[in-house]
Amino acid sequence: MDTGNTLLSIRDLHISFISDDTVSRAVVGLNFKVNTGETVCLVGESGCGKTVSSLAVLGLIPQPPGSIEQGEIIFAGRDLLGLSEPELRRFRGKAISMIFQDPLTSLNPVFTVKEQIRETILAHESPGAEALQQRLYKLISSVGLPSPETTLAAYPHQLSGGQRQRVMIAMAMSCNPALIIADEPTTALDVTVQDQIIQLFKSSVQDGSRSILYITHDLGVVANLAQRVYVMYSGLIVEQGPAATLFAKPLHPYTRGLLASLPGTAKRGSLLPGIPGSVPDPSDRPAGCPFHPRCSLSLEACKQRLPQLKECGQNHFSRCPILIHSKKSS
Amino acid sequence: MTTVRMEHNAILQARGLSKHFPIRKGFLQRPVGWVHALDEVSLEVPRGGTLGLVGESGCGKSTLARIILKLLEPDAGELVYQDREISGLPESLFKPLRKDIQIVFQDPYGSLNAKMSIASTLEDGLRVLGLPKHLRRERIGTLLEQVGLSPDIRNRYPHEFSGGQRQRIGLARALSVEPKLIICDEPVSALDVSIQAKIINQLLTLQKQLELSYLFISHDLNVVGHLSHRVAVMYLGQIMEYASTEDIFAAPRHPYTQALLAATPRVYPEQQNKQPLSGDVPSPIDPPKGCRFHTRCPFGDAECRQAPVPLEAKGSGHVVRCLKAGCDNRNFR
Repeated sequence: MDTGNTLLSIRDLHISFISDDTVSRAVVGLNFKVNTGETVCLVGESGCGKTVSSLAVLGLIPQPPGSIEQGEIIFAGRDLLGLSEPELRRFRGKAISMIFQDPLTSLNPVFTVKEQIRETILAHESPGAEALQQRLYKLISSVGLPSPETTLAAYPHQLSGGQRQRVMIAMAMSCNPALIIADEPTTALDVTVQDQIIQLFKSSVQDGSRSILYITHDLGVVANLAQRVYVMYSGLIVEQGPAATLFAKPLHPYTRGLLASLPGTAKRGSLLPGIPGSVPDPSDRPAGCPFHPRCSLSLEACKQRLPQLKECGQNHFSRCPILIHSKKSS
Repeated sequence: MTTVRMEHNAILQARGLSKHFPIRKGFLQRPVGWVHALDEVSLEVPRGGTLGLVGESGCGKSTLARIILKLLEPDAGELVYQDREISGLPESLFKPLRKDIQIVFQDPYGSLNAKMSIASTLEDGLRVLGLPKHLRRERIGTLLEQVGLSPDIRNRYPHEFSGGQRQRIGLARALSVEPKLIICDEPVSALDVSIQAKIINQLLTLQKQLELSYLFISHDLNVVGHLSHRVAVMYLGQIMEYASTEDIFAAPRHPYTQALLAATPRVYPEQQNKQPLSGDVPSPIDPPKGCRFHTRCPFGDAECRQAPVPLEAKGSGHVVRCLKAGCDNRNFR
């Protein structure tokens, strides 16, 4: 899938959080990229570094306590890590925009929807009053909200959870960004509303010019939405590949464990295989493969050395030499 | 709603429960409207089994849970626990039964007292049971082991634990008074998948060991399908469909159930008949006339808007509130 039209590429990113006596290594050598027009999902459980990585793209990691120790974040040919704050501000909301998990706390309760979306547009462009009004109307109807007039005049508390998230999406799309980063945007919503929002994301990338980096822990959503998937565990990518391949033939024990944890695939009322143990503390990560203490396949070698990502199929990479080997020999 | 045949092996039966909350306004605080939280809800929790309750936010799931716990009194209908009517019972007579019905909450952060150690959280219930002090200590150890935690954590505080561990502590607290029925109000919704799997396993194991009955409330059909023996689907305070888990998943009759199933994200979709429901749930303050689902239903017509639709039996133990359930709407597109 490396067609040269890479929009965002993160190389060997290391992020740590330093407190009085501990250094918490949240991200330890992250590599991934998003191509133009592609929907990419970053999957993993709480504490694996998904959100921290996405915040780093927009330069939203508070430093200190955070510290980006090494790596580069290349967006459309420019390293975002080298930019100054005013330069970064020109990217935020314009070329790259972000949608957060909780639409209630990410909207300002004392301003109307109109004022908030208008602020985003005016921060980057200066359209005339007439053009601005038309653009707002168009945005509101494009995200499936009823009667633009009333919605624009509404305060966030007057809208339902699903409507608020649509407003957030309208705001994110207001400057026609090349990349939208969505951090668990549907986790707080009901399934039927979640479904509507996912359809909205799908239709927003249809013309092929926009990319989405979608962060979630819900594998069902990933299977519905993503073209490519990165599975993240303990600050690292452990498996990556096209969504269909990855779900059909997962080649990392963590991915397999996540899939086995899902109710709905196992026999009703049976115990779910799941994954024993819990995610390691980023300030005290096990040596070697970070997954080895929870892995049923682990060998002595897994405790010694961190395995590299190896190709195990077309565009499919895994960090588990044992499963890659067993696939080759079978 | 008497079309629901009562089974003899039910631990709890709700018969025609209704609850409307007044909306008061003005100086005299006169009611100006009513929130129709529950309307004639009848269902039963099988003894030693699980009843799953599904529906979107605001459909009355939690109101029902609070009525069963007698934290709220219903406006109409009765609640029968082990062949004994409990809905009208004064608190003095109900108190001995209170320990029988316990609840595990959704939010493992908000439902534990941050200033109480795990031991004192668990001890409260044991004190109410009248257990002497030296036995309490031992019992706390057993309880923690039962939910898969080490007894050594007893003197620690909630902030020291992860979400999954706190949910286990919440479960241990519910178990401490030896309940027969546990209401699980979205206990795994806030957890990561691998943690969720562990709590589901724990619930299944405990059910077998202690012959517990569960009322499992969730909006995640995959979780409900895995744990439940029977499933009730609620919409705007009414039961829309009520059947065995197999029937709900293999042959859903109500368009709302079908829409919920279609909207549930699956990793390995069996059939791709996507027709997203449009719009949001209408307000329970002024629910739609006729069938409450007609505003979002792909089959709704003039007939559906006219009069309230009754629950009707469609096959054994399968009730549906839909005028169109007779026609074959299984190829819902």
